[in-house]
Amino acid sequence: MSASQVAASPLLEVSGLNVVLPTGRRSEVEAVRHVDLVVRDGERVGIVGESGSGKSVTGRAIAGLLPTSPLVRVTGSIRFAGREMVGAPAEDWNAIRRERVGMIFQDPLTFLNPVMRVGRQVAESIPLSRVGGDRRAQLTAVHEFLAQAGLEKVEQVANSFPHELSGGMRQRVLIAIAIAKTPALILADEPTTALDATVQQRVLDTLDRTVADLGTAMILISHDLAVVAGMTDRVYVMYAGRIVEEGTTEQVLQDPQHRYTQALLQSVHSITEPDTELYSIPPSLRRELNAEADHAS
Amino acid sequence: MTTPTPKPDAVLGTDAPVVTPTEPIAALERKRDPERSNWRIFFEKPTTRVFIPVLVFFVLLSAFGPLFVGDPITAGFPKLLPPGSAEHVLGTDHLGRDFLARVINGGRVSLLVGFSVALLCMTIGLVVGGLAGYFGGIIDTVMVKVAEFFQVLPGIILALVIAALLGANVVFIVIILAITMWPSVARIVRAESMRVSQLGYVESAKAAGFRGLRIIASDVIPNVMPPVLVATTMTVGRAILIESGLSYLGIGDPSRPSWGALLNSAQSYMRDGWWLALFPGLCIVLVVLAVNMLGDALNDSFNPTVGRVK
Amino acid sequence: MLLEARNVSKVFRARRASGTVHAVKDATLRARPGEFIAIVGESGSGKSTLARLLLDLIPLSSGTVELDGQPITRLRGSARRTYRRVVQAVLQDPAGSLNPRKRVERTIGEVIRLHGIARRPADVRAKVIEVLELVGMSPAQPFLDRFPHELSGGQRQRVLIARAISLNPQIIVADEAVSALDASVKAGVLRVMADLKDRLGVGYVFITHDLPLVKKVADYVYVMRSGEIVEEGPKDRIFSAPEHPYTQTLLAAAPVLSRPRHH
Repeated sequence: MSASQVAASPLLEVSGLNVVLPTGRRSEVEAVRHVDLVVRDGERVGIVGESGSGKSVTGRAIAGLLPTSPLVRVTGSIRFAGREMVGAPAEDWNAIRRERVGMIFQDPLTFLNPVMRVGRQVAESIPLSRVGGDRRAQLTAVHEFLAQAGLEKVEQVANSFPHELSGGMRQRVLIAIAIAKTPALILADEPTTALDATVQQRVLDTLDRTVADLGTAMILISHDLAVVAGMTDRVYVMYAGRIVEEGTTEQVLQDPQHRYTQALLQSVHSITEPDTELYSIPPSLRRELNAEADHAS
Repeated sequence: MTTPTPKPDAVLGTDAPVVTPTEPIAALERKRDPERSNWRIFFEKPTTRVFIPVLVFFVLLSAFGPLFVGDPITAGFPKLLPPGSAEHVLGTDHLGRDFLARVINGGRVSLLVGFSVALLCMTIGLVVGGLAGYFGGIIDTVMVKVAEFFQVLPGIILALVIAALLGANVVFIVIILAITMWPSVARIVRAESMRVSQLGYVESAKAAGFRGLRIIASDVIPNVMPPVLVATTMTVGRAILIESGLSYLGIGDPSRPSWGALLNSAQSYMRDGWWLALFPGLCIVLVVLAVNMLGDALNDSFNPTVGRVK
Repeated sequence: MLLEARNVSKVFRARRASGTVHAVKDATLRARPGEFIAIVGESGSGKSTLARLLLDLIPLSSGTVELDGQPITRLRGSARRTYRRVVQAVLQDPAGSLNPRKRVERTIGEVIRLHGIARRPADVRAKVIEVLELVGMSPAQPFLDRFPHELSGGQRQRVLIARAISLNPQIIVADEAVSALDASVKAGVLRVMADLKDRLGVGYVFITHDLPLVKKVADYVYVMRSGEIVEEGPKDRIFSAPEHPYTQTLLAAAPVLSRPRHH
């Protein structure tokens, strides 16, 4: 192997990922089917799909955050910088999540500790090696990260509890916590979906700038094409647990190849463009897409 | 078994059924849950299948047993006989009374007290807690004060006083126990009602034009039942145990001793009459266990969301 | 028919010492059948509170809400029942707006029976099937026995809409009724709503923070901020020539698919 090939071992490589989840007393569903994806250092990748497409489950599988019930079955391969994580012990996953992957999920209220001040939660995310035990250095770092995440009056914010902040501010706190660990990868799952349309844009801008400044890789999961469009280099489109299309974001959005992507784009455009008739994916198309997803290898 | 494909609908196609709000799943299921009513689920549970017979056994025993056994009260030859003889299957007590008869009759009293108290507590608790939780405001304040008053009542002293004034009677015992025990059930109902009353479907019901009492009965109470059921089954056990404590203090009909009363009078004969404590004790344990397990199983079966992965 | 809020205000007592919260200040609004009215604003603007005032779900602090000139708080008996029938609600959070223990048929059937739309079980069931098919859940039969958790978000939303229209209402107050839905499902539900407006003459009071949506479906727009209606007008005028600075800010901040970003 040449030097460039060795160096090009991707940050994250997922092959043949399959996830089966229980859905009731006696039923289960294959939420993710044979998913392959790759993220390289500094790359921004989007995963787009409707609810039920398996995109969130994929995100959680990558972070090792699936429920630990024995009814949940994960097969396939997830490699972080070459290291196989499927079947790895909990400590390995914890180490990865602590140091290499920063996560930003949809609902900050469930992710943040309601009885711990925000500043302390950011501080806990900073790796010990960076600031050691020096309280003042830690505080400065916390303020820096909060500022970098787009917050103003950082001392006040750091002293607040999560419920004292607005939705947009809470999301920025999540961003701060994520970047505080100087991760190699940021995994954002519907980071702005719970926010007002107006605040969404600002938080996305912040995320965009932060990721650009730090040069981290990013996986952005969303059902909203507009969110993914402006923020990613490459995108994967998921439907019924499978990846139906992938490519550079520009390409996929301008010239979609798969019928589902085309229909999805048409839906989105029909909502935003004034003179087009509202379009939703017709049942006949869904039947075909489902059959295709069922029978593909 | 082949999977029936979910039927597509005219406007939006085959929408993916959502498992939980945060964990979406793919559009096709490998196996679909056959339509089972909640009661069928309940009766198919292994727990149910073990403990319903136990409970039924004791209920039947208490209801009909006394017809077949001898007199539990008339003293015979005052000698302790161990179990095993044909004439006295469970032996006799220190007064020569047939112990099987005493245990079976004791069951009647214990079960009567236990279930009556629990049922009364549940009824009062649902009404008071439901009203308090749904309406809030002044109604809530009043109900809470009333509940506190009854909770603070010293049950045992009250029982003593009533017994002294009116004589000891199973009915009085049941009433006194119910009066002192309903507040704990009401508290649970109130907390759950308050939570449920904030939910979207209660608001929707109001907007649709339903009136308060109807909403409490139709939307609030059914959704608060799980913890209430558990609390009610706990009450059965607690009532039986408290009643046996009262028997120890002499509050209890001496002509109709409960299992608790039998247990207490067995204390003096622990060495020579082990069966006097074993059988009543065993009965209490089995009944309380059965009721608690069944309450749990009921809760499990009637909660449509159990079984999903969060 | 006219549903009108006149100078309504709502004041909440804040939980922590510091006094009161003015959720809605002196708002005036008119809604008619056949008209699609949107109330837009960010979180905390008071739009949801205003919706609940229109629906008499919370008491007014001042002002009146009138149905054809009659204050709704003073309606009694059959007049009140009529109000509850002609003004229906489709509220936010599909995961919580349906009783998790009631199957679809019962959830819709019980309001049909309450308002006397049908009484015999067979008639009620027929009506339930009729409205489910009207919102596109066709064939309706398999949905009758389902619990809410056995339905997708889009289906739950449509059950809510079906329940609302089963009473032949004249106005539906919808609070963030489509915000939580995917693009395709959103488009489908909106199509149903527009269809009902065209065919049955239903009017909407549509509360949302999603501006592109409003541009697509609304006729008249009220813009709210911090409890006040800062601007109102026909949709086209609001979007092409907004007057109030806040409206302008809102429009500028709305996310747009085609906006490129360079990094």
